Amino acid sequence: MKKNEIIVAVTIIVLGLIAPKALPSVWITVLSMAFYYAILTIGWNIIFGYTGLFSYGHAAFPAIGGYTSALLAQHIGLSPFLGLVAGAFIAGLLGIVIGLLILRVHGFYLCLVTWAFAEVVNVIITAEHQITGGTGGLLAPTFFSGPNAELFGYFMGLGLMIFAFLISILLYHSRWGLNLFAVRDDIDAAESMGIKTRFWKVFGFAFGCSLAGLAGAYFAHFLGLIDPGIGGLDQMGYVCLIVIIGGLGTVYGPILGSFFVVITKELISGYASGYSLLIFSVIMILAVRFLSGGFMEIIQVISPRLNNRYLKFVNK
Amino acid sequence: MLLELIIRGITIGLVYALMGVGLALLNGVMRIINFAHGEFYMIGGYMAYYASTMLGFQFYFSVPTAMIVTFILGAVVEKLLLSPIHTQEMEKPMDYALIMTFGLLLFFRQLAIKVFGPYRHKPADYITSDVYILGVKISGNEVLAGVVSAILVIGLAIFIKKTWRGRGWRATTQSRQGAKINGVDIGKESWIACGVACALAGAAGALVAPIFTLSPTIGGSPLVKSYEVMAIGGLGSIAGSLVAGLMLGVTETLGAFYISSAYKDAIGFLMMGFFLLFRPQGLFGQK
Amino acid sequence: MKKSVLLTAFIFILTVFLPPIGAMAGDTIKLGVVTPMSTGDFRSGKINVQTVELAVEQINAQGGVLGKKLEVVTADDEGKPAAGVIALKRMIAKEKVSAVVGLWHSSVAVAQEKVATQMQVPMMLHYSWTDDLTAGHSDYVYRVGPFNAEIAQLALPYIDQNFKNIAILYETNAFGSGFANYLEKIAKAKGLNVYSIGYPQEATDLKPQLLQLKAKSPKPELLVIAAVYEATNLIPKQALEIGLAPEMQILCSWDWPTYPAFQEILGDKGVGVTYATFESDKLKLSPLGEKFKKAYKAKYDVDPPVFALFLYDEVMILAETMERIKSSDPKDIAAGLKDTKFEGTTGLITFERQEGPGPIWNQWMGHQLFINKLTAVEGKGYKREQIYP
Repeated sequence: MKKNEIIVAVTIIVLGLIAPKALPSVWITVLSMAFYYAILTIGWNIIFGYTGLFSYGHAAFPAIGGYTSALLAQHIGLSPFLGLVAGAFIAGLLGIVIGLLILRVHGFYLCLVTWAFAEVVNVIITAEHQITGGTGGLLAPTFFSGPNAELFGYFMGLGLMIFAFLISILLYHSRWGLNLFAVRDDIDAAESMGIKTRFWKVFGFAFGCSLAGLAGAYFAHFLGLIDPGIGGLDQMGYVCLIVIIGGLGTVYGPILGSFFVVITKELISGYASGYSLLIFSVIMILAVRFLSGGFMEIIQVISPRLNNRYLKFVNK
Repeated sequence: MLLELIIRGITIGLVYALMGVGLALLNGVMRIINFAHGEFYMIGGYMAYYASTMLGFQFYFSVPTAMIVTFILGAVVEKLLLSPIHTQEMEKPMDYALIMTFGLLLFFRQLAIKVFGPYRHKPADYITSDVYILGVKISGNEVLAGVVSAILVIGLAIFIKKTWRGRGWRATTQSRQGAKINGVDIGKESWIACGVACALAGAAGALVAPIFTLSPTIGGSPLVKSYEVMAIGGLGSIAGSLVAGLMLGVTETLGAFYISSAYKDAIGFLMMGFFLLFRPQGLFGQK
Repeated sequence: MKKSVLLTAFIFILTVFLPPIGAMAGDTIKLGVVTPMSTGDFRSGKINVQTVELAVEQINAQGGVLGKKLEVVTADDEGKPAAGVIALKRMIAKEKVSAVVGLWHSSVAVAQEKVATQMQVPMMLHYSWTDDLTAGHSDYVYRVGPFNAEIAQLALPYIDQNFKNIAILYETNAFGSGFANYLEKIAKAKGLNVYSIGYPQEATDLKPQLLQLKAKSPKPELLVIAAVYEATNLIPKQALEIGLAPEMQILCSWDWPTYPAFQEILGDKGVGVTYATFESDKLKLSPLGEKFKKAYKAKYDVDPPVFALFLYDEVMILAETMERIKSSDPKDIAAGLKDTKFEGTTGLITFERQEGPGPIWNQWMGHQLFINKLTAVEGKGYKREQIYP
């Protein structure tokens, strides 16, 4: 682990611990949602940013993880903490299955197939309403009860996000990560070097899906409910937006982007709540059109010196 | 009952074909995915509504009005936002398009909510009486939608086959480099093709507006159906889209009745997934 | 290098501290209205907001509550459970409301109920039908409106008298599923033949389900629709299109046919549709009810639907309770509501509790159900006639 990454992680932990004391209590809920998106997006970053697979069905996996955990809690009384594990596990398992299926497709087709999968999952969730509660959603036990339940849930989310962050950093610098990057950048060269590209494709995919499942289970037990909206196309859009803004393929991108998007949304909601998605879509369009490196390019544009500092920081 | 289901399936299948054909054209010429395709359907529908309700146009002006507006919109969008794909020789045009067109989807949908209001509207019926086909009662609107869709699809096929521009598009679909060498101006053809594709989507929206009614979020389902049709029929193949549309329409209607109405939407996805995995070129497409 | 970290941290803190640190606690008592305003059944949500604003206007004109003015704070729950929970949490934490009203969609309210109970702020339900809301026996949930089991029981005699084979199309959420399951149970117990089909609440193409009903034998004579999203108007339209109606009668589970949107979508084909409601020309409204109806019509140019009456009652009850217990603290209000005896718009309102499991907890049981039929198009709406009782 690079020194700078440790510093960032510690900074986040410290800020995360101070925030509940320093801010009005509504921010606890808002920041917890940011944690959810961060974990979810870290997962997608691994699938697309590291491994180069543009999965458009990512939103199905928090749904799978969340519903698994909620249903297990409902039917066998599984504790929400174990539910996190179960959700991540089942999502990862399905990630392996789907990952194997999509080995045969690339690019555009990959995108469509994963999207089709996500939509089928959504149809199943709404069709089997006797089990899943249908479009009305399902209630789930929260992590904690009592007056400080939300605060502890917040810390839970902070912890999970740091966990996901650290894992993504470890992966980034490891040999495994190198394999994923090789698959992303030049699959033929990777093959010729003896890298088992098929294995790593599935690995990267399932890994990201598993994190998404974890995020979904966290969502379910933090809010106390889960509904089919979690797997919807606009959630996928948020993930894309977050990654665009934060910077694709970097380790900090998902977290930076998540906080930016969630906090901005909250601030906007105070003044013009119905406009947040509209504003975001405009930002997304402009950002994709003119900047492709996320914050990095914004910084490049604003000040070359700052950019040098940032580059040095990120690459040290 | 079976006959009724088949006839209904064919009628909606023709509209699916119209949506899919536009997308296949776009994908063939521009090689990108367009998530905003459904939004042009929605805009076309609203244009028809405003044309007939606000401006008092007769119904036969509604659809053309919708098509003109969506053509212009599609061309403008292409010129402003999608042209970098070929002007900048992007490394990964698909990724660019994936995110950009998704942004457009959100943008148009949210804009529609603000501008048109979140209400559901219904333009006046194009044909108020019911028609009996082989003893099955179908509303006049549905028949009109199916017939006009078929006309547009066949019209496009003729255009592609016979006109110089159409042949240029076919060439671009087969080989960009080859087309360029032969004098096709990819930039110009891109925005025209994009405009046409969006106009077709707008036509579909305008045709079914009195049947399915309008709201800002109706673009989601047609988008999905377009992709299903394209995946099943094959990229760049008009005959494929027509056959695929009919297949999808009929299979869906039959499946919803005999198997389960709750899983109706899954049928299309499963078909699409099946084709993408095992026969990516679809029924008639070229690889 | 360290500077960049500090810079990032600084920007982060800045963006988070930038929002206005809440208005200072003023001399007002805040009443929260959390209801769908942008998506979901926003039409009803708008009526909810208008009703509460009218009620608060009247209360303030007469001196307010405990010498202070009542202030309305609104939040959009988007008709989605997750958004609704966050909206409610945000409202309670930020605005420090004394009570929350206007909750609408049952599935959303069920999730919001957990929040309200946990944060100890009373919420009042005027038209969220699921039994689950009061079956939890929370001290912070009070319902002036009806609930599924009650409504089904009240409607059963009409159905039983006139039909042998019925179909129920319902949204698969807390309201729809609850209503359909209960109605199916008691109808079957009376020997009726029941076809029950659920569909996802946001569906706009119900023809597959309707075609399935069309093929059933024996044919259903009545279609009961339990819907609140767009399907409300689309189901009758599509039933007509495939030839299922008008031979099969349509009974809407609540009075959405009185909304202008119904006429826009159905036009004169809407004649003959029936719906269930809780007020009628034959029901005498109390003087309070009459006054409210007139005031609402004068201010907003339409007649208030029946649930507005219940909501109005709730606001009045809250004002009266606060005066009675001389406090605007949410916990005190929750306790004080128990002893309500209020002459409401449609009858005397008290909250009953039945020991043992069941939804009768802080629940008003004084509803009367009527079935109206649309008889002719009239202006932007329809003439109607009461056909039951």
